[in-house]
Amino acid sequence: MAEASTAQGSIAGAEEVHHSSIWPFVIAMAALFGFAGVVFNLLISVFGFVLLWVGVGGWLLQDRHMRFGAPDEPTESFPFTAISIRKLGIWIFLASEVMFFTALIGNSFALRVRSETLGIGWAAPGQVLNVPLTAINTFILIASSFTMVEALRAAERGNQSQLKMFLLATFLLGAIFVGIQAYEYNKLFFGEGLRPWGVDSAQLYASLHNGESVPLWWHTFGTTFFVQTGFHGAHVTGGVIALGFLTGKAFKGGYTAKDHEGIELVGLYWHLVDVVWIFLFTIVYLV
Amino acid sequence: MSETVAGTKTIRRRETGHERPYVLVVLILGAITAGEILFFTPVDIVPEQFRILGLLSSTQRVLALMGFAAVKAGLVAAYYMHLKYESKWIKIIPILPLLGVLALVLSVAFR
Repeated sequence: MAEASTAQGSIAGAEEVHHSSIWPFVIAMAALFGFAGVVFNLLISVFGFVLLWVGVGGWLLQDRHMRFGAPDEPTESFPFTAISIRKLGIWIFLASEVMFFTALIGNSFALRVRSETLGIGWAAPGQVLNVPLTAINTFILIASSFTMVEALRAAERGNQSQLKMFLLATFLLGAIFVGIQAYEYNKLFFGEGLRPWGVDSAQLYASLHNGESVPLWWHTFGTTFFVQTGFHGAHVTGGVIALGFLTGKAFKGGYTAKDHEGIELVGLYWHLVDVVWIFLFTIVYLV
Repeated sequence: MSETVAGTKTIRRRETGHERPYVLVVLILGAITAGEILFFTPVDIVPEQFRILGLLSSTQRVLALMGFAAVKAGLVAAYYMHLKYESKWIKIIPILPLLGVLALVLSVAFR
C-alpha cells in the first residue's frame, strides 16, 4: 500500500518534518538510573523506576492526544527498503530480548546441570511446581497469541467490531495469565517457602514440609525459578499494559485499515513473550 | 513516487492475508502442548501406562520436549509473527541472536 509507494518520498520528507519525542529519551534515562542503582544505591533504582512510569505515561499521552508529525511511512535505506522503520526497530529490539532471555535461561540451565552432576540433585517435574495449573496458563497464552494475530487481521480488513473483540480478548487472556502467575507465586512463596534468595530458615521450611530438612538444591532452584518466570511475568505485564492501551484506542476508533501499525508492533512483542514462555514452560516445568 | 519490487510483494501479501492458517496453527500448538503434559511428564492426569515417559531415557525425554518447544516456537514465529511472509532481511535479524543461543546450548551440553 502507501508503505511501498511513498518509500522514496518519505525518506526525502523525513529530513523536513519534525518527528521527535522526548519520552523515549526519558525512558532510556530511567533504564540508566534503574541499572546504576543496582550497582550504587537502590534509592537511585527507585528513582529510575518512577522515571520509567513518567516516561511511559508521557509517551502514551502524547500518542493519545498529539500527532508526532512523523512521515506517514518512513523506511530505511538498503537493505531494509520498503520495511517500516518502526517494524525494523521492534525486530531489533526483539533480537535483543532473545539474547536477554537466553542469558537468563542458559545461566539457570547451567546451574541446574552443575547441581545434578555434583550430586546435589534438582526438583523432579511437578515436585515443587504446579504443572497442571501452569499448563492451563500455557493454553491461555497460546490462545492470546491467536486472538492477537486475529486482531491484526481484523485491523487489516478494517473490521472494527472484530478488532475490538479480539484486542479485548487478548488483553483479558494476558491479565488472567498474570493473575494465575501471581496466585502461583503466592502459593510457592508463602505455602512452600520458596524464595528467590534461597531459604529463610530451616525451621520455616520444616514447618511447611512436615518437618523435613531443606534439600540442597532448594536455594538454587528458587533463585532460577523466580528469575526466569519473574522476568517473563514482568514482560507479560508490560504487554498487558500495552494491550490495554491498544484496546482503549480501538474502542475510540483509533485504528483504520490503513493505519494500525501499533497493533502489529505490540503483536510482535506479544508473540515473542509467548515464544519465550513456550521454552520456559518446557525448561522450568516439564524437564 | 516509484513503486519498488519489494513493495509490490508487501501489497500482495497484505491482500492474501485472509488465507493464513491462524486457526490451524493454534490447534497444532494446543495439541502439542496437551501431548507434552499428558504423555511426557510425570503428572497424574492419564494412567501411567499411557505415558511415553517410562520408555525413554531422561536425555531422550528432554530432547523430545525441547524439540516440541522448538516446533511450537517456530510455528508462532513463522505464522503469528509473519516471518514466513517477511523479506529475507527481516528474517536475518532474529536468526543472528539464535546463533548465540546455539553456541550457548552447545557450551552447556558438552561441558
